[in-house]
Amino acid sequence: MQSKSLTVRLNRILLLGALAGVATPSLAGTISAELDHQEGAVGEPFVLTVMIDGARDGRPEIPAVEGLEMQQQGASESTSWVNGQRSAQLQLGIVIVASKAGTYTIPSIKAKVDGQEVATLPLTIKVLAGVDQAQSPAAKTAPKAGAAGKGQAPQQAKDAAEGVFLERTCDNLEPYVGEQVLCTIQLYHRGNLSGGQRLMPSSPDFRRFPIEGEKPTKKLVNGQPYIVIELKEVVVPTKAGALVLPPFTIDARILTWSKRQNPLNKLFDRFGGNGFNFDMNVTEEHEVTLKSTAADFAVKPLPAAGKPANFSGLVGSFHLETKLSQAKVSAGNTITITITISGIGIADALPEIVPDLDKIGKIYPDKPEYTEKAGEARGIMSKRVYKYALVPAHPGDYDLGKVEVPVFNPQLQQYTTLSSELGHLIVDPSKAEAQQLVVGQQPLVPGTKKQDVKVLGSDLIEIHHDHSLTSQQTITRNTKLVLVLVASSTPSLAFAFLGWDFVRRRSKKDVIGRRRSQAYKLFKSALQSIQVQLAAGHVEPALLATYVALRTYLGNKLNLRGQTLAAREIADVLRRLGSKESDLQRLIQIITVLEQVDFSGRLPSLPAASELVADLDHLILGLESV
Amino acid sequence: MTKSLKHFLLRSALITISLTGLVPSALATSPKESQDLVAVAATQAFDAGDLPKATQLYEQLVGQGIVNGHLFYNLGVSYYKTGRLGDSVAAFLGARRYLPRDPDNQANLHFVMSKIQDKLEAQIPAGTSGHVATGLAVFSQLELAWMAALLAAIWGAAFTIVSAKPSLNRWQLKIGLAVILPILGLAAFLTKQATPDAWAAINSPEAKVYSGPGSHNTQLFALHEGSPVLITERAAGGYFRVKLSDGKQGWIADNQVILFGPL
Repeated sequence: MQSKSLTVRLNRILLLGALAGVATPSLAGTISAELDHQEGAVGEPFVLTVMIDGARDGRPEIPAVEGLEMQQQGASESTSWVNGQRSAQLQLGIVIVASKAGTYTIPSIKAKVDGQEVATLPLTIKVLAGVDQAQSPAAKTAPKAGAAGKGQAPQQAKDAAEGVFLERTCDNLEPYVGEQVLCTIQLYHRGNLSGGQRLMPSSPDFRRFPIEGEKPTKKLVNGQPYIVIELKEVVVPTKAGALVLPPFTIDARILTWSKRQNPLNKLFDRFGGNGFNFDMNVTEEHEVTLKSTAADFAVKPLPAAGKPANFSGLVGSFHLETKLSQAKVSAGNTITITITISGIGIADALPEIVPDLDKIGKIYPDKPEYTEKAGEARGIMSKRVYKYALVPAHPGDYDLGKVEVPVFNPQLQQYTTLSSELGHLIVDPSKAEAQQLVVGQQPLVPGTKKQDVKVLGSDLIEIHHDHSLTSQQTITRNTKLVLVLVASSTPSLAFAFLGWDFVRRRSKKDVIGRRRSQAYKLFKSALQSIQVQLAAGHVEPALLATYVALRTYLGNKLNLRGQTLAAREIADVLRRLGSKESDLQRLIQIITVLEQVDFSGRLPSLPAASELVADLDHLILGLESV
Repeated sequence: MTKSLKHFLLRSALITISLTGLVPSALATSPKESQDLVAVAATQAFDAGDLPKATQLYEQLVGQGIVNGHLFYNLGVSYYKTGRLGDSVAAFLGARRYLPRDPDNQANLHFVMSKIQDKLEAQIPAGTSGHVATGLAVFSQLELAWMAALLAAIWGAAFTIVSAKPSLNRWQLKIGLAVILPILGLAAFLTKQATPDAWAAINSPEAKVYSGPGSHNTQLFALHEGSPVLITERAAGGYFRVKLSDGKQGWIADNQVILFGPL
């Protein structure tokens, strides 16, 4: 037992040793390092890529250099077996940011690969003083107009080091107060962005409206492929002057990859199998706040020249529409006036546009409706609807005039006045007024106030003279009686019919039942006299009586009536009832013979007739059991 | 007997009554004829401008148990012209129960409602289930009852025809029932609706509405003369449960509410 376990243990050791021997590479490993560029500005990230080819022993050590901040950004590792030989590759990405200008040398990076010490050549980078936007990835696509950095460059450099950064461009940095400006935000990342959320810091100087949706594209920045997510926002300056639009900010979740030592490595090391060692890739997510640069705006005030007196601050390109619910109305009734202003721009602060209709009647405003829709093509499209209930007081034909709304159009750079005619309204006399006209009283003229009507109740329609005042209009006892009679007439008839039908069907059923029960008795009675006739040698009357007896039986028993009912039809009915086929064939033969006797007088012999009657008796007995 | 002749005879009888000072009940005429005489007298008094007398005679007819939309209407006009706004609103509301489509009554009700202090309507806004009931409000109680009776008769006739045809197959029977059953359901619904809403009005300058039937309950709100209320229940102790067009409910003393027609 003990020798067996020892043998097993030795075998395992030998196997591991053999595997280790096979795994030992015969070729020497290599290490190389390269920079994405060798000259840049302070704060600009340099990307150093280190590649190790072969079975390495641990990670290469990256030497520290004073003035350079180095941070590993990612690593990729691959292992393959070719012709029984193991091949391993490791690629490390290191972001280097210089804090001050100068020429830096990155010393050799050493590693132990395939059992040998290998090293890279020293590398040199030249860092220029100041932010050279032309060289930074963030600056390569920097805003074309006026989005100069406001202390955001270090932040952007840091973001770029993460492989994620933001840019914003605005299509007009010199808008008028209230004019909408479309800004495009580009979020660059290298596949390491797992999510994010827009933050829209409020500003007293700008109103900001996000536009839903995002458009992903790809771009090369300094030879590096980036995924670019394009976002849009509309900003509207609220006052004139030099204003700073706060940075566009996103709380982003960034993925980083790192290596952790495999706990099994120690086990492999114990058996000298360090060639099996590998590290585990670990993905970690952390949140960063990405910010674009702030943008400088020179906001122009609305021109004083040509500004209408009743200008209310509406800026954009709008359309005005008015509508009356009806063109004709009776005095005292209500019509609805709808005023709709819609177009490109923001009309949420537009005050009430109350038509001057006091001379016609009372006007009651409804709560204005407001909707707005943000789109990439036109920015903010808004619509404001005012509804007013007008109750004309007096009859007449009125010109309701027009509604005017002054607007500043930034495209045309001038004020325009939107105008829409309300049209004509014909107000008919009210019913009470019409009644007055009929009885010859003076109609109320437009402008007359209600208080001028002295006589109390003069607007009331007079009493009814031509109607009976004493007939009962409620449901009296007699009315109830008539109603009940009418309501119950046909239902009573229906129920009476149903009762009669029920009795009729039941009695019919009784008669049929009685006939059925007595069918065989009657047949046997007839058969006795038939047999007497046969005994006397009277074949024809005996068979004719047999035919009648059979038909009577079938009529009583199965309700099969009619002389024209053929033998096969009778057989079909009996077949459905479950009679034997042999019996049915014999019955058909008997009926055929009896029909021949009845119709053609063709008589069988006496013995055949006796046999036929006997068979029929047997068959009928069989039917009784069915 | 022509209408004018009958009118003439009634007028003559009225003159006789006026001259003798006898009340109609003392005459050897039938109750219906007496009531007709009073009605003519009331109308003449109104036309002559004697509004208090016209009002008194119309009230006399109402007191005799006559339920007639035109009577209530005329009384409503008389009430308003004598300055009794609350009674006038109640009379027009009562007339609406029996003359739901009468344009004069609609106009006058609208007119007197414009004079009341409280911002209330004389109808409960229809809910999702109340549109049919609101639609049926254009029919009087009697009309609805007749509709229900006729629908029941139609149902009976249809049922008889269906029953008398034993050859009908199953689908024909199903279709027949699908037609007949809604008719029966509509008839039942109309029968239920044939009891019109008891809309009344406040006839005192101010009426307190309580949370329960009695002044010991919490006072919820106050109504003013002419405000229309829907009476939904009567409690012992002289209190009505009322509902307003704005959804408020409460109990009010019955001597502060006037209702024309049966509850």
